[in-house]
Formats: sequence, structure tokens, C-alpha cells
Amino acid sequence: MGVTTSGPAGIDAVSLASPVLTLEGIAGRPVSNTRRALRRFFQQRLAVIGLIISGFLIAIALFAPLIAPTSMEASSLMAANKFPSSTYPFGTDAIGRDVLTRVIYGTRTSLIVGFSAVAIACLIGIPLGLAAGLRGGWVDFTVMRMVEVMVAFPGILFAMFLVSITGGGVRNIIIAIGVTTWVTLCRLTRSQLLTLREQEFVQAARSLGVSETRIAVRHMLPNAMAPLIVAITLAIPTAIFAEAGLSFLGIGINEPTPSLGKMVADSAQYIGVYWYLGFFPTLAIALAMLGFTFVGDGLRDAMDPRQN
Amino acid sequence: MSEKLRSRPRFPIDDPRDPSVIARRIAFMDQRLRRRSLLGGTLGFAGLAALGGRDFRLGPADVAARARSQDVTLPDDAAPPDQQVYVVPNEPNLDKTPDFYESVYERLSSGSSDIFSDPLVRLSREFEIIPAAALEWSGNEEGTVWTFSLDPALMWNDGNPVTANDWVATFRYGADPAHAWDFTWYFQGVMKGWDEAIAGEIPLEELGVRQGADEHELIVETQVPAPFLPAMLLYSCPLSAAALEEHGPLYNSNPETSVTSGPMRLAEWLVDQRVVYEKNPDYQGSLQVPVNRVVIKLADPGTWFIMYQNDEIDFMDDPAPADLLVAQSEFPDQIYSSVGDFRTYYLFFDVTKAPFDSLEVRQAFSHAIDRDAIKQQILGPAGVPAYSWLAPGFPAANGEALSSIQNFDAAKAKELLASAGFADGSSFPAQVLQVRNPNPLTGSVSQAVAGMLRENLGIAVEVQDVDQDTFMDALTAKPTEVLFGWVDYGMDFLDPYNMLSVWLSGGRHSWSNEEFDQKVKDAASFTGDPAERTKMFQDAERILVEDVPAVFVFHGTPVQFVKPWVKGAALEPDANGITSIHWPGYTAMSTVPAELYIGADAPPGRGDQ
Repeated sequence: MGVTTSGPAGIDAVSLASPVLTLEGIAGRPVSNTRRALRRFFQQRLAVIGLIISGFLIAIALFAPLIAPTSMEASSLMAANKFPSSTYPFGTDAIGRDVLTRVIYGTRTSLIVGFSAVAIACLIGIPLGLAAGLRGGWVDFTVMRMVEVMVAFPGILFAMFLVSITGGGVRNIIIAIGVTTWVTLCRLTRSQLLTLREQEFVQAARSLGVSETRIAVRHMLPNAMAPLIVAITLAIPTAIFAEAGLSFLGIGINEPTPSLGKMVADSAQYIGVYWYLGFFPTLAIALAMLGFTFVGDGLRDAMDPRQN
Repeated sequence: MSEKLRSRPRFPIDDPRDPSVIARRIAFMDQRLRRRSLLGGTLGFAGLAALGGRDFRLGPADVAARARSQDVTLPDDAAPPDQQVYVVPNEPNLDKTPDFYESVYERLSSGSSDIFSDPLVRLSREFEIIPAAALEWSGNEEGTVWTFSLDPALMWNDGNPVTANDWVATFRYGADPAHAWDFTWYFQGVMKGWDEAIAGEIPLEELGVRQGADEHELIVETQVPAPFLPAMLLYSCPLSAAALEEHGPLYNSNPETSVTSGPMRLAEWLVDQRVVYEKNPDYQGSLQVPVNRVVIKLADPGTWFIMYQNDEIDFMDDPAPADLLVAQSEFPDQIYSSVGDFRTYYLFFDVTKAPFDSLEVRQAFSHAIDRDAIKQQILGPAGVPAYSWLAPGFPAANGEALSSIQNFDAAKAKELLASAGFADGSSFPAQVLQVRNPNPLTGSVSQAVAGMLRENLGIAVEVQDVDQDTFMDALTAKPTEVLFGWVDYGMDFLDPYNMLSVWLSGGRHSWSNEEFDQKVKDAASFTGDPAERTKMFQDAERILVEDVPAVFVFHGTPVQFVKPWVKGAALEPDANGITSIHWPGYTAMSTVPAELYIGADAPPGRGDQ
């Protein structure tokens, strides 16, 4: 037990003797909320699993050309309808395309669409929410009416309508899905801002003469980030599923670009005979959604201020 | 027992799915058609019909004596009358009307339609034009004025007689620009006044259709000599002039207002669920129909196979490749391969725009498609490779002789592309292949074709599925908006003029060739030796195949599944050995309703829900 006193970062008898053993105490300096949240995040098993799954899928998407056995469009009619084997681990489809390759590229498409659509939703929703929350008055009124109009349309139908007038293709789908999912982020940002607006530190900044924009971006937004990050992360599986749904309905991505949703739709007729045609794309969609949902849930639990 | 239900002599049993068997039977049928035309006179097959398609089995006296009763004597193995129910499926979003002259593409055609009145002529199982509502017909010397003698006994079930006025009202309704009928192209260039009427340039009263000497004589005038007109008038199920005026054109979509002079009447119409016909006790026509009820279940084609396996429907056609596999192992004796409507599936180009204005580019495409691999791996019994336009068995078909023009030759394809100025495919502009309304079969084939173009020519091709309406609007726009597409065409009436007229200038494709136009039109109105007429059509087809406005990929031989309790002459081999429920199916335009009954072994209660 020879505890020796040492420098400022050391554990000393005083700290040991203090009744509350906190991170601050051990580290000798204040720990930020971020570190605390991360620590809480990694303590949850599901969140870690989700992170591993998502990371795995992102890696697949990034390195698709390197890990896919064949090229994306390759089809060899004579090898059609083969069951899973060592040459074709996931089998081949009706015109001889390797299912494993298509699942890999399909996952890439789904993730690209998912992330990009959410990015667009952020670019539209967050500034609008900021404007509504800050300015109030007619800006708030206009934005809220826009939100209500968007909410009135069923998301998938509106996306279908947009795609049918702009034509298919990955870019138009991303825009269509982004345009139908910005609403949640906008409302969340706005409600966060309405709460924060009344806090003392905002009033203090205002009385010091800081401009409204600077207050919003520099002071309020960082404090509003937590629920926003959660919402964004949970919007990703929604976007992925929306893309799968649209291509299942036959709208959107043209062959030969594989799309998991279209693969599932085309495989439905073969379900009794060539089960692997539907099984693997469905598994990929499920994993993508599961992974990001777990991460989002984990983030929400980790950043929930009431659990401090 | 009705004459038509008597068994026909059986031919030696062949596997009906074997393509060589089908080819042999088709060739035999083609031959038989030619023989008939020599017997019939100088005008060829269409000419036989034109000469006054008299039913050679009946004289005028027999017509009067023919039993009008609908109490058909059922064969011994038939189900009792209350179980005589025929259940068929139909796509749900094409159920606006059962009437041809209201809308062709939005009617209940895959189930059962065109059965609320008799057309002027109908098709027998041997693909012959025989009398229906018109007992006899004749044309003047030039072939421009056609007189039809109508059966005076035909009655609508609201008490009105069926008269020439019904046809006049029907054709006027078809031409009415306010109606915007989706089939107006059919009579363009044929019926007198039709082109002007649909453009609104002349009043409908001036259309070349009118009553003749009395109300049971119909006169149709044509712009050009038209020996093929009676064959075209297979599509002539009239609407009731009285009902049209009182209730408007959709009177047959509601049992309350429905009026029929055909073998069936409308009993029930549950939108998006089912349509039910019941036998019309007041029918005075010549079809002796054993079935008492027809239930049309409206369901997505993707579910038809499961319904068929559960005995919920008695018939389905065009199964998905996966379902065909299951059927071949579970119930091979219920599979029938038909010639269908001699449909050809093809790629086409807008030849007025680059890069397809170059013949070498088009030729390169035609040599890049391996039809045999497609037949083997995807089509199976559902189709045969096509290298020309007219399907085997169709009059004037010349597949053998033309097969080397668009043959598969990957090396030649690459050479041609290079000599067209594209040294390798990557310099060729990326293409989007627009596919009209693919089903599982055509979806697979069109994607396989795109894959072959990528592989054999190195061209980047994307496949875009387009629904029927959007596609046809874009295609028929002037100028056409489809640069590179996949579509199909099946015959409307059995004359080479019908199929070849698709490619005439001003038609749905942008290709225009004067020599072709001239040859087709000359042959169509040719009244000399039928063999010479055929040769003229074949010369025209050669021009078409050589100029490659289209790459022909396969001819459909649609597969049908028919439950074993569906019996009758309809399910026996015809004179050429082909066994299937012949096109156009269970409609008054065909003799099928008189040749089909339900056996006693049918599960009861099939059509009830």
C-alpha cells in the first residue's frame, strides 16, 4: 500500500479518499461529453454489433470492384440458374449473372443511395429548421406549412411520382428520397432550437452583441447535435429501405446496375425452385438496416442527457 | 350431341413441347392453307373469305332449321349444368370494359371478352374465317364495296333485333375523335372516310359504313381494293345502338345496364375482384355453348400459378419460366404449346437518328445476338428463334430462306461495327434499351440480349422497363421518341398484309422504304395467282429483313396450362396436330366456346369466391 504522492496527474491520497470516483478524478481534468457518450456507446453490446455490421457493409461497398468475383455486367447465358457452388458461391440468376457479385454491387448502390439521400435531407432540412427556429414569425410559419404539405403525401408515393417525371437512375432516386425525408430533420432542428433559444447562454451571447447566425451555428447547433445525429443515423436505414422498395416496384434503377430491391422482386417467382435468388439480397438489405438501426439506437442511448 | 363436340380422329402422339414437332406441324398447316386457297379460287386465303365465305356445311334452308335452343345436350362425362363453370384469370388493371370498340388494350382480353355480341365473322380452330353474325358476304369487282347479309334471327336481350344500324353506330363510335379509341390505326387507309373521320375533318355520318337494302344488310366501303376486309372484320363485335344512346359506351360494365346478343350475359362485375358471365337464354346465334357460367378472377399474373395449383382457376397462359419448370415436373400433361397469335419479339431502332442511321451499325447488332442460347436457356417451349418477321405457319412465312441474313456471327458483328466507324464498343454512345411492359419471360430475354450486346460488341447498354401506355405514347409520337427499344407484335387477322403493314411508312416505327411500301400494297390488293401474291409478300419481307430496322429475336409459342377437367373439341389436336385453346380464346370471335365443356371430375365450388 505504499501510495506515493506524485505530480498533478497522479493519484493522490486525497483523490482516493474522496467519496466519488469520477473520470475527472482519475484523469485529473474534465472529461468531455463526447468521451462519456462514446464510452457509454461501446458498453452496449448491440451497438457494437451494429457498428461491426455497418462497418463490414461499408467496407464491401468501398472495395466492391476488388472483392467481387466477376464484373458487374458479366453474364454467361450457358451458366444460367446454377445453384450455389464453389464457382458461384451464391449461385447464378436466370441469365447467368453471378449473384454474389450482384449482391456486393447492390449493397454498394443501397449504401450510396442511403447516405446521399440522407445528406440531401440534411442539406434541406437542417437549414430550414434553423431558419424556422431562429427567426420565428413568417419564416417559421412558411416552413411549417411546407412541412405539413410534405407530411400529407405518403412518402413512397411521392417518391414514385418524382421518379416517374424525372426518369429513373441513381441520381434521381437519391433526390426523390432526399426530398421526401428532410421533414423529420427539419422539425427536430426547429424544436431543439426553440428549446435552446430560451437558455441563458444564448441570451448572454445575444446581449453581448453576437450575430444571430453566429449564435445559431456556433452556440446552439453543437448543443442540438445529439438528437440530430441519432435522427440522421436512423434515417439511413429508412432511405435504404425506400430505395429497395422503389426498385422492388420496378421504378428506378436500370439494369445492369444491380439493386437489392429489384433482385428480390425478380426472385419472387423462383422462390420455390431457386431460393438463393431471393435469400441473399434480402439478407443484405436486412443486415444493412439492422446494422444502422443498432448504431442509431446505441447513439441515442449513449447521448441521452437524462442518463447522466 | 352437337356436331362440334364429336371427337376428331387422333394423330400419332407426339410430344407437343418438342420444337421440331411444332415446326413440322406448323409447316403442315402452312401447306394446308395454301392448298385451301387453290381450292377456294383465285384470290388466295383472304380471297376465299372474300368470295363470300359461305359455310359449306350449311345451305340457306339449314340456317333456318338450325336449333336456336341453348339447351345443349351435354356429353356423358360432363359436369351437371349447375357445375358447368369455367374459371379464368385476368390482369386487374386492364378491366375497364369487356367491349372491343370501347377500348382494345384495356379490356378483359386474357380472360374472356367480346362475348356480348356475335362478330360478323369468326375464326374456326383451323384458323378459317367462317360466318357468325353475317351469313354470307360478297364484294364488288374492284373489291371496294362489301355487302354482308346479317342473320335476321339475332336479338338483343332487351327485345331489340340486331340490325345493321348496330354496326353503323359501333363503327361511328370507334371513329369518333371525342372517344379517342385506342385502335383507330386498324382501319386507317382501309375503311372509306375513316382517316378523315378520326381527324374530325368529316362528320361521322359520312363514314363508309351504312345499312344496305334493309336493316339486315350491312355495307362497308373501302378506300382501296381490300380482299382482306372480311378477315379484318373478325374484330366486329357490335355495341347495341340503343344501349349506347341510352347509357353511354360503358353500359356493359354494369349488370343493370348491360345488353347482350351473344352467348353470355353479364351477371356480376366486382371491380378489381371478379367478373361473372352467365349463359344468355335469349341467344339466337350459331354457337352452341355448354358452359353456363364464366368466372373471370382479376388477379396479378404473378399469382396465377399458385391459383392454378390450388385449383382456383382452370386455365392460364404465359407462365413465368420458373413456373414452367415446376409444371414440367408436376403436371406435364397439362402443358400445351400453341402458335398463339404468331407473335414476333424484336429489338428496333429509330433509323432516322444516329448512330442507328447507319446500316452497318444495325447489321452489327443483328449479328451479335445468339438466339439459340436464348432459346435453350430462357425460352424453352415458350418460343422459337426468329431471324425474320413472319412466324412459322403464318401465310407467306419464309423463315428458312431468310435465316442467314440476320444470323448470329459475333466476329462479323465486331467487323461491321468497326467499319461503321466505331473501332471498339467503348466509342459507341451508351444506349438505353427501352422495354415495353416486360413479363418474367421478356424481361429475362431483353436483359440477356443487352448482355450479349455488351459482351459481343463492347457497347454499354442499360435496360429500362417502361409501362405499356408511356411506351406506346413515346413510340407513336411523331417524330418517335424511342431510339432503341424492345417490343412485340402479334397478328390481328390471317393475311400477310396485316403483319407487314406494321412496317409501312407512317406506321409505329420510323423506318420508311418506298420499295417495301409499294410491294406490300401491290400484293395486298393483288387478285391474281395466290402463289404469286405470296411471292410478292416474301420479296417485301426480304427488304425488311435486309435493311434491319429491327433485329428479330424470337417468335412466341405461348405455353398454356389447362386443367384436365376442361374438355371438348377445343382440347383436341386440330387438323395439323396442334393442341391448345386456339387464339383468340373464349370469345364469340372464336368457335372455342362451342367446343369447350367442364368434365364431371371438376372440383365443385370453384368459381364461388
